[in-house]
Amino acid sequence: MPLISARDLTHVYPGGVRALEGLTLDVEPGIIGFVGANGAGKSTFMKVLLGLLKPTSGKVEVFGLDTATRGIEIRQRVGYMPEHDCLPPDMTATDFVSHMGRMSGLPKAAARERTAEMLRHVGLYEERYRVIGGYSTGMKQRVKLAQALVHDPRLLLLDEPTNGLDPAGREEMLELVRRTGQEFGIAVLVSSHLLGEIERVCSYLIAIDGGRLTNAAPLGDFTGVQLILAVEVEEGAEALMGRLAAAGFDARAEGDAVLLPLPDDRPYDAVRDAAAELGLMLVRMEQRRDTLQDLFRAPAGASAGKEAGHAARA
Amino acid sequence: MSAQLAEAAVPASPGPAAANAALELRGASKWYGNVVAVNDITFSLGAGITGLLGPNGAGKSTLLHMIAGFLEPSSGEVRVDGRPAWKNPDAYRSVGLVPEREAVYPFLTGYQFALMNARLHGLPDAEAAAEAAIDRVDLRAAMHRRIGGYSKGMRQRAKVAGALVHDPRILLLDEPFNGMDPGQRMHMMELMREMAAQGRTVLISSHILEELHHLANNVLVVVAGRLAASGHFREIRRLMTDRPHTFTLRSSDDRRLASALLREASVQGVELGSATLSVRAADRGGFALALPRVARDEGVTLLELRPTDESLESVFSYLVKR
Amino acid sequence: MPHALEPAAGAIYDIGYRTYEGLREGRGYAFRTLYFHSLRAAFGLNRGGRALWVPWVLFAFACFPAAVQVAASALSAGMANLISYHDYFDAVRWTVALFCAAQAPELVSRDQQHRTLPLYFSRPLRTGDYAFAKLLAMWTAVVILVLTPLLILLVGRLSMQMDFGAALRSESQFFVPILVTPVLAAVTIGTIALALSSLFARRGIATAVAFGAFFMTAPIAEILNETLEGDPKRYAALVNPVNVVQGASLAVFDKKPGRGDILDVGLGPEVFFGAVAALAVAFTLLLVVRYRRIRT
Repeated sequence: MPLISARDLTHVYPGGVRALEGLTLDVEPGIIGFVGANGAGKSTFMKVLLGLLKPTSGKVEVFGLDTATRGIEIRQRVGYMPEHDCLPPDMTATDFVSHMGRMSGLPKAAARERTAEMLRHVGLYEERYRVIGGYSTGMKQRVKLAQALVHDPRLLLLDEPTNGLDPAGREEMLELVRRTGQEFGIAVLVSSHLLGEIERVCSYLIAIDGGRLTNAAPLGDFTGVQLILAVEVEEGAEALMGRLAAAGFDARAEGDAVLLPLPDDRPYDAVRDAAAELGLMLVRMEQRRDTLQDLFRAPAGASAGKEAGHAARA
Repeated sequence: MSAQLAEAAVPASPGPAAANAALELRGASKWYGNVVAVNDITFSLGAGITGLLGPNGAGKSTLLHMIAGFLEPSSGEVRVDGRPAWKNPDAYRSVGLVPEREAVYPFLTGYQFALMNARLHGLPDAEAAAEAAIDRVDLRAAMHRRIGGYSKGMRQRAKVAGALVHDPRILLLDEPFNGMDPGQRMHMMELMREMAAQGRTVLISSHILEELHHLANNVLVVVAGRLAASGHFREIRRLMTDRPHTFTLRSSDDRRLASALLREASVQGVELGSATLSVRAADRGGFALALPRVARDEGVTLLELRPTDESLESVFSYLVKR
Repeated sequence: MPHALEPAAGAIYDIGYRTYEGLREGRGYAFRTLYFHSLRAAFGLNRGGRALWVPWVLFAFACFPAAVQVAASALSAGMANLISYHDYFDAVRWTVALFCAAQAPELVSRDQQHRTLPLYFSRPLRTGDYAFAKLLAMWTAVVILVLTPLLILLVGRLSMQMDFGAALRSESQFFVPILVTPVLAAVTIGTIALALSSLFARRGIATAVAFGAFFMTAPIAEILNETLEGDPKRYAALVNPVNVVQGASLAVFDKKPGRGDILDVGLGPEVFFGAVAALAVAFTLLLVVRYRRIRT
């Protein structure tokens, strides 16, 4: 049974804005990246998953339960971490997470224990006894994650979890997300604008645009290796190119790198030997990979058109 | 080592650091009681794009507000076009600031907001300037709609229009990419590149390093109010001589290659992973030179070689920990 | 006798993530949790420190006349009759209104201001559950506020008598009104304060609006009473919800309003009870609709 299963999901807001348009997809458990332009329908989709919105037509099931009729049961086993600030500044992390745990159905003692555990797992120690108002952005994000995990959900919905964090905080949050998905065994749906992060942490990708599904596939499908070898030497790139061309390889320059096609394994040793003979400093040699950026690299006119389309919807 | 870093304190910005550099700070500090937000910062910038990096609370916003002339330096100097930034209306004409928090009135239209800024600057033809700014950020289609109804990306662009309306030579942006999707970010980056190509000095504060390093090769790194490093981040990495360079390798025989590499003077250590080989090299150039030779002599095919710690992220995290 | 030496032993315990296989409660439990949490919030108990001042000072004010009466009665051997059950609400009407206006925003405006609602609604709870839990907590708080001083009066009166059993029998005629008056206050003033507060995320504004609903309508009622003639004149007092509660409370105690009082217009109890019911239903509806619309 797929984790999430949508069939022809459509949602039209009262004003006429068509946020979701015939979305059909199946998602298996894992760490799933969820990308799309602002206004493409991501928050709407998450709200529908939580049973907070009834779709105009079509249906979606989470854990095999219809969100339109069994929202309450679904919400017992789903954790949600919103993008925006949502914590009361004058409660302590312990009190707040414990309260949220009880609101999710945990008996008092269990809520207390799990609160302590989750705060430890997200990395909040003595600060948990201080009021949230004094926390840094990083600490607040951790509290948000803890309240989403306190009731041991089967599915975690994270909306831009690294928003507002500095690079160090970002690293830590991504590591937490990875641990949650891989070690804790909880399915995670991460919505993010940072494609590099998605590539690092996720195993599956869902992309939507204009309320429609544009891509849904394992991440590997988008980050496959190309049959091109990129080589960088500290100096003497032209000499390297010359030597390789002389040996019959179709080498060309691109920025700092020298590129060769990889029809077989011969180029590897050719590069190695050329560098050794010419006394060149070899600093990089790797197969080109596709990146998620390529998915989004729309031609100039198209992106302006998309903005206008989103403007109408926003 | 600190001497070497001090030399890099005056960054190699794309334009020459002329006597009348667009932007110059000398020993600038700002404190609030006991809290020192900015501590003795010195640098100068010319045309081009520079990134301003630092952990949360490092003083980046304070620094930008000082450059924009909104905060008086507690000591030292902040000079724009050779003149002090503080209490200097002329300086305000040369600087545009796009702040991080929402700084637009939702009941105004995009055009009205730009017009308001144009009028506040006392521009002779405010309407034309406002329209030109709107065009530059590609907001013409929505310019007569209220900002309250804009998407996040459009709101950011409206803010940029407001900051551009007086055609400033220096453009300061505080976390401009927050909340933008990849398409909107690319659009904004294009705009920044255009601005820089026109000879403007663009200083962007951002946490999103993966984007910033496509945009700005030169960076200023601020940690707890101090300037930790400046310049091209690859250069900065090279200057970190107290930290060995690390490389990740894959080859046809990692173990054999590893033991051969250990015989090289440039190599400090190797670590065999399940599928890769990590090498710590005190002498980056020496290692890069030795590697192909050693591999060839051992008959080992090199399949992959990557420096692991030359990324902007890696440089940044090292600087923050010092 | 010493133990034989055992071979060295050690263990590393797994403190990794544990799943939860225990009991999971449903909507009723979430409702009760929110109810008690909100009731504590109404008395400033969740947040420690400064939050305690306003509700407890007002609570003290509400009880003060009763305490004075009991003390005076004790000192004067039962002769002092400063205040009695049926005019108690009149004495503390503004304290009650202020309490509701001050504390209702604590219950409903905070969650909006801090944008905590999505965290609640992503849990197994309906919007109606949220609204009713808050409402019930508000009602309970007002009942406590109004009932406590009445109980103080009752205990005072009982303890002045020598024959406890006889005293109990003679006071028993008041038991029903003593219990009903707080409920009347709760479902009228409490509901109005909560519903109005739910419209605003900023607590200061919510308090001002809620208090205005009670405070500003008083002079309006007076003005209407002066300027209108005939039937409308009689109903002018009902414009102010506090008057409505007062009138209903007097009716329950089977007392007439004082001469010249705005309520001295010969309206029957059914009018007041009807007004209480109408206000309670209308503002409850407002509250429910408000939360249904916020969620989406």
